[in-house]
Amino acid sequence: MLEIILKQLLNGITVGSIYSLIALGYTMVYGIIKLINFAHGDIYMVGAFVGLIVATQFSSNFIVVIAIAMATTAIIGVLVEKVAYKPVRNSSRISALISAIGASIFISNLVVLINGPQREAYPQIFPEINFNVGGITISFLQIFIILVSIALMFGLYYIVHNTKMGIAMRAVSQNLTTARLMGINSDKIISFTFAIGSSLAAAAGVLVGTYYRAVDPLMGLLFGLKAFVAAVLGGIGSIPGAMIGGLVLGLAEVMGVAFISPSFRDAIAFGILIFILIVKPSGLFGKATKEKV
Amino acid sequence: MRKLGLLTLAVVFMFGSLVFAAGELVIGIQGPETGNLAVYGQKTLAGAKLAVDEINAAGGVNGKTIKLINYDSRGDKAEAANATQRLINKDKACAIIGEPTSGATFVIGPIADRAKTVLISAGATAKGVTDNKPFVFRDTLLDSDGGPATVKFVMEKFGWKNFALITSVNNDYSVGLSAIFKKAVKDFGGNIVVEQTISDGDTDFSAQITAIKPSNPDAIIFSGYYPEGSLILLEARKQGLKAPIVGGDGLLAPDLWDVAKDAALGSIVYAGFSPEAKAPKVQEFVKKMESRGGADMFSAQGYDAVYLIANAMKDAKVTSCSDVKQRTAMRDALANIPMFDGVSGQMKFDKEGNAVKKPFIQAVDKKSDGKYYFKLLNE
Repeated sequence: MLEIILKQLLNGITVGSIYSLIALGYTMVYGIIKLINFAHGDIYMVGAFVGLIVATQFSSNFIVVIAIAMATTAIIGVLVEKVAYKPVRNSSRISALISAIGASIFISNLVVLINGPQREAYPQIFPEINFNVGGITISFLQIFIILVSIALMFGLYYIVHNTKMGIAMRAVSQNLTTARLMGINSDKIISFTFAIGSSLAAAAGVLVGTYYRAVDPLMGLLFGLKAFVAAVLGGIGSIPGAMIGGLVLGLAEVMGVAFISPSFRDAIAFGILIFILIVKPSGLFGKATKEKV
Repeated sequence: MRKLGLLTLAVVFMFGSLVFAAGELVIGIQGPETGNLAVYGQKTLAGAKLAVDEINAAGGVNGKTIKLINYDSRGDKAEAANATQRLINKDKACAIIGEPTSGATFVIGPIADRAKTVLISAGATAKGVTDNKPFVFRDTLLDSDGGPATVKFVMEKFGWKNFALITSVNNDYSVGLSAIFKKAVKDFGGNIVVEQTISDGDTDFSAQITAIKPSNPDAIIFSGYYPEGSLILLEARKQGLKAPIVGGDGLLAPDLWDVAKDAALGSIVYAGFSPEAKAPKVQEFVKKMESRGGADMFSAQGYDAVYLIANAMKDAKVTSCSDVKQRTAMRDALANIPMFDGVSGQMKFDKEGNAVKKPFIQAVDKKSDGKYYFKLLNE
């Protein structure tokens, strides 16, 4: 029994760390321009497909696949920002939100149009090795996914706290107008934020493809929503919050599936969202503000 | 003068069509030929057309040729009911091959039964489709025949005894089939050592496989469809669980190996047809269907339905289908048909009009050129 619980914990942390990576994109964009970027789930899906193309056409080296996927998707993310969000930045927030939903529908359907709606097999770009620790079979892939996620999150933490760009990002998130008065090019910072968030989502996409060995054009919708729940759970706008929120959500889901019923998987995720919005609308790590979505 | 000409024309046409009609017996066929279930209707129609062409080339039935009239129901229940009414009232069909789906067959069955016109569904599998409707039949393999036969087969052939059972709880087909599998395993002396549930649309099955693994089953019975089936296989192999999957025709799709690749090898599914069957009849059918879009379960069942009807017509010496006595005699002949040897297997009807058939049990295998296929196991 203990073995199963430990294994399920590992399953939960694996899924949770992927949620965290996507949640970071939501939370960073919200932190800067107060926009729920509903196209973010689809950016994650695009990242997975870019990885698929690279892996099947060019190289099945994991580092190459994830690097190209992250770079390409970062460009796509910035493009979406320029086309769908920048023109409505000074309009009401509801316009930007609707534009985000439109972008989401457009991206997923574009991929359906190009690829077809079917699920695609993901090549094995990481060897499947299991090893035994005290009678518990541990998948090396799971450990690897968790490590990659942690590494990426530390990378992000470093960028945000120790680089000029990161400091500018934080300044813009505190007050866009003041930051601009201090000579910060806010357009550039916003694009940079989208690029970072999108590349993290692409990394999540490649990790999911490697983990489940299959991707489909509509996978962004539900995974994106779950990651959004993770971001709200952690406190939207808070980077550590998104990391912890993802882990909590992943664990809650897997434990719910394992010990209650799989029918509750989505109910647990969205139940958490409702609960948080009622009890602590600012989330675990969020600052209490008057205005929330 | 002009009027007279028209009248003459009309009279000629009338007589012409009467004379023509006297020489043929009409079989109606309806199903979704367009829409998202189109492939079911098109395949059934293609199989039925082949059978009608063969019968007419061999001189027809009781000295008359068979005319096949087809209507597209677009998978819509109201449209299906209209098509049935039209076939009965306007086309005076002797029999209808109707609706490959259970839902639409539930709608049109009572209509045909009230009109005392034979209806054979070449695809409906749901429980009760034919019940209490003497004129309604189906030539489909039922899960209540296929499931137990498959369990018995793998237990005898491979010596498997301990099974894990995975059910998709938001899928009626899966819930129904799981109950059948569960009973069959118990009846044949096996054990369900662990039961897990999933939902259609899930992609993460790590929790379920982790829960199954310690029981180390000989096989995993999965009663759902192929999208989840392929991901379950991948997850099982990832966690080092080597047990193959056993399932129904919900898993019977190339997508199973397109996604799961080698993890799909050894998976066992049953179905109502296999193009691999060596019987000359089947091989001839497969060959003839090559130029008509390929042989599959639906075309085989459509093909068999036409021959079932033609045999009943011969037995009842049907010459005119507007005669209700002849239609009733035909129904009785069909109900009492001795073992019928079709391309979708040998069958006869139980008292409710369900075909009693043997499943084609198949395993995913790989050819030497790396192509996957379903290898027929029970022949």
